[in-house]
Amino acid sequence: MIEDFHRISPYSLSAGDKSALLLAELKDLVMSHYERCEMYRNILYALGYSPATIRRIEKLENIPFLPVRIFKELELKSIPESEVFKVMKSSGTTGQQQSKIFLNKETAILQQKVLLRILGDFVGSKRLPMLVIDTPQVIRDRRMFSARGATIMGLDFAAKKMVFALNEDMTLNVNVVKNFLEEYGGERFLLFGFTFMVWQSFFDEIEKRGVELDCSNGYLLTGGGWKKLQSQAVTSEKFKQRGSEVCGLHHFMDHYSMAEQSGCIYAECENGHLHASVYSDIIVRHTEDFSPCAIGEKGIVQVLSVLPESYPGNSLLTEDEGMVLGEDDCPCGRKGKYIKILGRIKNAEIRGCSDTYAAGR
Amino acid sequence: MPRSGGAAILMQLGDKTLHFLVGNSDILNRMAEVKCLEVFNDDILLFLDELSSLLLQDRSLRKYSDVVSFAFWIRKRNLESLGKKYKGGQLKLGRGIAFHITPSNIPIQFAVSLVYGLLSGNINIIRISDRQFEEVDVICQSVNQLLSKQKFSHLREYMCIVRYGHNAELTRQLSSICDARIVWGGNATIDSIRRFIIPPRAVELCFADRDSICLIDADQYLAADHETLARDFYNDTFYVDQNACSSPRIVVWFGKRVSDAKKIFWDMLSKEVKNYEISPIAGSEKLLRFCVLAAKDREVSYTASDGVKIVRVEIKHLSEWLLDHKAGMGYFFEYTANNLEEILPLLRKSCQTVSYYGVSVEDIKAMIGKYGVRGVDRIVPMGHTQELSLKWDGVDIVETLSRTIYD
Repeated sequence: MIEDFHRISPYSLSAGDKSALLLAELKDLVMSHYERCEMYRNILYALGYSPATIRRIEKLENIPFLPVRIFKELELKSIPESEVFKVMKSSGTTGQQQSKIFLNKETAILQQKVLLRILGDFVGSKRLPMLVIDTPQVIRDRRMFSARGATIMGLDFAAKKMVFALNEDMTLNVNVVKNFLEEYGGERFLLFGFTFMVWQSFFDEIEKRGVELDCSNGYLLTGGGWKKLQSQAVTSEKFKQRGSEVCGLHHFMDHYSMAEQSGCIYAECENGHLHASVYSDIIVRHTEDFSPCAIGEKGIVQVLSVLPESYPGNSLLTEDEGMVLGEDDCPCGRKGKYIKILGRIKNAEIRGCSDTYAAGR
Repeated sequence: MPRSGGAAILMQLGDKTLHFLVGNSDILNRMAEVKCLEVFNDDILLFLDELSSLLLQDRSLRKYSDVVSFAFWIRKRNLESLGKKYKGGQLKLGRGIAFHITPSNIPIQFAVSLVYGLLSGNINIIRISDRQFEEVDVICQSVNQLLSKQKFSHLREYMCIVRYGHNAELTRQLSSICDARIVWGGNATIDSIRRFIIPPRAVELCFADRDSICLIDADQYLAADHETLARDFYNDTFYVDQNACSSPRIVVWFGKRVSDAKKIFWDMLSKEVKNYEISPIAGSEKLLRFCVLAAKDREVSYTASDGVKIVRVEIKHLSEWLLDHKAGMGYFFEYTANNLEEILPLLRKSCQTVSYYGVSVEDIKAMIGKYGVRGVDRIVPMGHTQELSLKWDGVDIVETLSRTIYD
């Protein structure tokens, strides 16, 4: 039962207890989706699973997984149309097809609750005002509605108030930020942005305009990965150093998440490690045969989450490369696995006569 | 006097967006006045023969077996024999300017397309994408080396090889001055190129997305040399990441001892793929394609071997849409048939090549004729699907790119 998870502090279970709890819950969820979602049932059946074999699963690594892109191909849901409360869409970076994630009210609320619990472990359980380093256009304009917009919308619930720091042209709206800091800057508050945008539209802009902004009480939550900044040789360390120089930031919290498992974020502790909470887990697999990797070995990331109840998204093979750095022994004291995400799995150039001119636009 | 306004505009665009690997903007701008050649022109054959020698001498190209095959294919003796059917009858001349849009992921294709254009007597503009390949550079260097010789100087005006990215204005202008347009690279490329009109009398050759199948008689297979056939099948599939139009996507088995034959066939292929480097994303791509198919048809089964290098998907019934669910890099549907007619659903419009072992070509042709199916352009023995040819997708390239003067 999901309530069992709510009674536990998000990072308090060590390996044995956590996997037992997750395994039981995930098996129930797999069974439940098997019964309620015909396409999911067909897939598992074709992969050789039956209710009997699902019940016999004894290890987390044997829980069947679906490639995450399946939500771009199929409308998978385990609830009748009448119960659909919200459809989350994400475009991702490859092509125009969008993921469609069907939420009922229960799953939507659960996602928000879990997000709050996880963030609470890092910044306290009170809802805080949030300065979003983005333009309000990103959630207003449906055409722009993207992974970026979806992530921001997912955080909306966690914020007491949300203020957007950028103008439509991605320049800094200095007045808005000044007003925000005047009102909330004296106490703990949140900032959120994609790493690249924070660097370019916040740090750069502050410096360029020579404005003085004191964000020393702020907790900067970032997402979206480091690929763009890496190409400019900006490391996480350099990012933090600059943040502290230009506006006095010293609380940084990167995170890993995806629209297909919203709510279950993997948040960064003060040691720079991304942590799996009790609600979720990570298995890194070898790309050649999908066997699980050892700690410290690079591979393709599989994410497990007990949140998806309205769609069969509890066990997904992502297209991200990563590694498990350790389990239960992070110096920050949080239990569970802690990981590192290395970016997208490389798609080696494929020979053949498929599309060439239109691709890559 | 210029015959077309297009050429002058090209000059204004300048060299900034166009990078010439062969030729230059002067040659490009004068193309409208260059005389067309007869098909299989002797100088062109000599030029290609020397190009063949240069490429075969180049040690750095040995590792590219497609370049080596290309070099053998353009030898004079081979082309002369291929050219016999076009010569000695009616006069055949090139149509004029041929504008080729070649794929960015098969490096050799631009050269094949150039040969098509030259053998048909045309003046060629070859667009290649801005993706870098060693083979492309080496071939272009060899072409330049030959064109700089006095004896080939008169052929300089017959070819420009240009590299540019997605520049709609350039594609529009080059399309507006051509007499033939050749588009490689699949459906989405064709759609985006078709937005640019070509002159009313220009012809167009488009090579769309296709799929291909393989038929094997199990009893004949069991009596054959398994190692050679494994290599043949590897060359048809893994050698091109099973992503060429002519790579088989499905193996259909006939005969009595199918399960014995299957076991040996896939075991032998396993040995062949030992050194095949699989793209890190291939495993999840194959699993994805399988899941999407299984959601629709649960009577399919998934077997992976050699890690995820070879994925076989056993199919219980064939449908027209099956090959819409194809993946590359070693993803094979498998079906056991009692008679040839069962494969009819696979012979839809997009079906290009039927390769076979131990199945009668006459029977296949008879069936195609009897049922008047929309697909199948080519029937070849296993191991020959990637062979170069002057016919492609059911089209005689030389006939299409040339004009016949009847008398």
